[in-house]
Amino acid sequence: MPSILLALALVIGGAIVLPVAFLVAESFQSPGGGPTTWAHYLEVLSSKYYLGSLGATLLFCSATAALATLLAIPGAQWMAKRRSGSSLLRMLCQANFAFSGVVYGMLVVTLLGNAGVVSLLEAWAFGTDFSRGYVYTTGGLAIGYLGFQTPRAALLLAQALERVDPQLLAAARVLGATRAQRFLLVTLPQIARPLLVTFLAIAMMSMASFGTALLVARTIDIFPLLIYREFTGFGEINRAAAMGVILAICCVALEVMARRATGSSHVRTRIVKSSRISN
Amino acid sequence: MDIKLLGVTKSYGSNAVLVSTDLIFKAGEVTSLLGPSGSGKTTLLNIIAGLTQPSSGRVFIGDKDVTALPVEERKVGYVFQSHALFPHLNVASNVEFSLRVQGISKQLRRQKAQELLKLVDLTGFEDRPVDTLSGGQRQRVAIARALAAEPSILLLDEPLSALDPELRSRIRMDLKLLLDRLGLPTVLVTHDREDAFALSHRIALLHQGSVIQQGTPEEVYRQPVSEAAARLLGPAITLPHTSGYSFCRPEDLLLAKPGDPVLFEMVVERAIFHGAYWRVSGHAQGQQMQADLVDVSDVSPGKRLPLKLKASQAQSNPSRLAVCTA
Repeated sequence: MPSILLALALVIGGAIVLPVAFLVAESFQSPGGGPTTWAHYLEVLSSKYYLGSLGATLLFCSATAALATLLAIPGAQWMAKRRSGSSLLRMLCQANFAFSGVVYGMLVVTLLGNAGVVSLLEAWAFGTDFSRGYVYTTGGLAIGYLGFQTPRAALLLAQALERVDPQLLAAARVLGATRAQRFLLVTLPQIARPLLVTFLAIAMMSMASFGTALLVARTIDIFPLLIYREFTGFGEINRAAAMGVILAICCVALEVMARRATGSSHVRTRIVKSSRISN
Repeated sequence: MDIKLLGVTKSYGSNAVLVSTDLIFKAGEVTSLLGPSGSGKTTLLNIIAGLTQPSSGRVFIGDKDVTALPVEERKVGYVFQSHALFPHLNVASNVEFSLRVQGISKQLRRQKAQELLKLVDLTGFEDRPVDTLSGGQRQRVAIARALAAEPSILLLDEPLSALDPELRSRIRMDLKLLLDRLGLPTVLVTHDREDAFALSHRIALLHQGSVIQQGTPEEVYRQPVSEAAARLLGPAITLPHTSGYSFCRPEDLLLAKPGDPVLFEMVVERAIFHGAYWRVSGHAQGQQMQADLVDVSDVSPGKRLPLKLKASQAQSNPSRLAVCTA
């Protein structure tokens, strides 16, 4: 057991702790190896441009993650109940992990770009061009994000829905609850915490990725994209590191706030056990 | 209101879970469906509730054919084996659930919940989370919740199986009193014959998907129609009979005194002292058997015990298969 723990500590240390430590150290470095400084943080936090981008990114990613989590529920239920075609649906959702953000960007351009399928169909059917270039709007960017967020959310939620005791739903049916009432009054409270966890996971994942934004974002400056540009375009490694640390802190703060907000609502998730019950 | 099942069958592919079943559950009576695991008891209960559709046959509640009626509209009270209380709701909210989905006002719901909790002796428990309740309390909440919908029939799936053995007999008596007070036609699924005897007016024995016998507890115990029926209700000893065979129970046997007619000479294999009697296990005439003996002193393994039937059981009679009619 100690050797397993040691191996685990080495992996975590090597893959997470060490790089983060270097990143933090880098963010305090002056360019050219000068003295330790807060300058990069002050620069980012006092800039309207960076702060605006950070706020817009947090808002955009949270909103699309929330929407993706809700959109994922029907598919997740389908998979959890193992209805016909659920294996195919699960496979498609899992295939989503193989696609990077850039690929999703390409897919959404293919669909809603200037020469996208939807634009061509619209022009052919109605002779109009309302959807032409829609992908480059905030709505188009949101569709791109929802494309990679929703399948991942569905997979996460399906696991939670599989654990909802079917006898609770049967009991609700016998007590006269309609399908909608069963979902709202029984299923939803049972998966409240998994819903939150899914939303947070998807929101974090979105904040960390910028592949889709790289291709189609024109109306929002996605913060990770700015980090990427600082790092590769301008060679501002220290500032990019500070921006990375700020983004990580914002993500953790968002998670803490979300957990606190829902923790006070007495949401409980429990698997009803059919084990013996003592008096 | 009587509940009738006419020719009900249920199959999953080629696997027949229920073979043509005709049963009547009379108003005001508690009927137990007794059988081993896999005999189709819970399937039958789910068919009555509407949670499972029969492959063929019809289900009537009163004169109304409810076979195709959705479960939500059947007005049955169902107490699940695990109780299936909603863990995110407190006791009162659980009881009120059926009223809530009907859109009844909060005030009326609370009033009804209080009445029902009083009926099941849980006044003062309204705001308690259900996970703080004991097994017996959870069961009573489940019954109160089932009654809130004013069901025409009450279905109980293994109501005592989740309880500790020492609690079981006490809760059994509480449940008996409650069911008597309710007077609803009640169908109870159990694999425990003591539960069935204590709680039921009638017992239907299920074996491999068929109802093999139904009657009062005493009828099915004393007059089993087959070996399977006899053995479902406890140890049974096969007695040779001119027109077939019959059965008696371990408590029907006595140690034969010199000069008495001996029915068996049982070779003792083991004996367990139960206080009022010894349960002696052994074999005779090629069959394993048990006898509950009071007036016995030596029950060491290998000992041969001459046994006879109790006088009340020894009178010969009938040609039909019946207990102790040899």
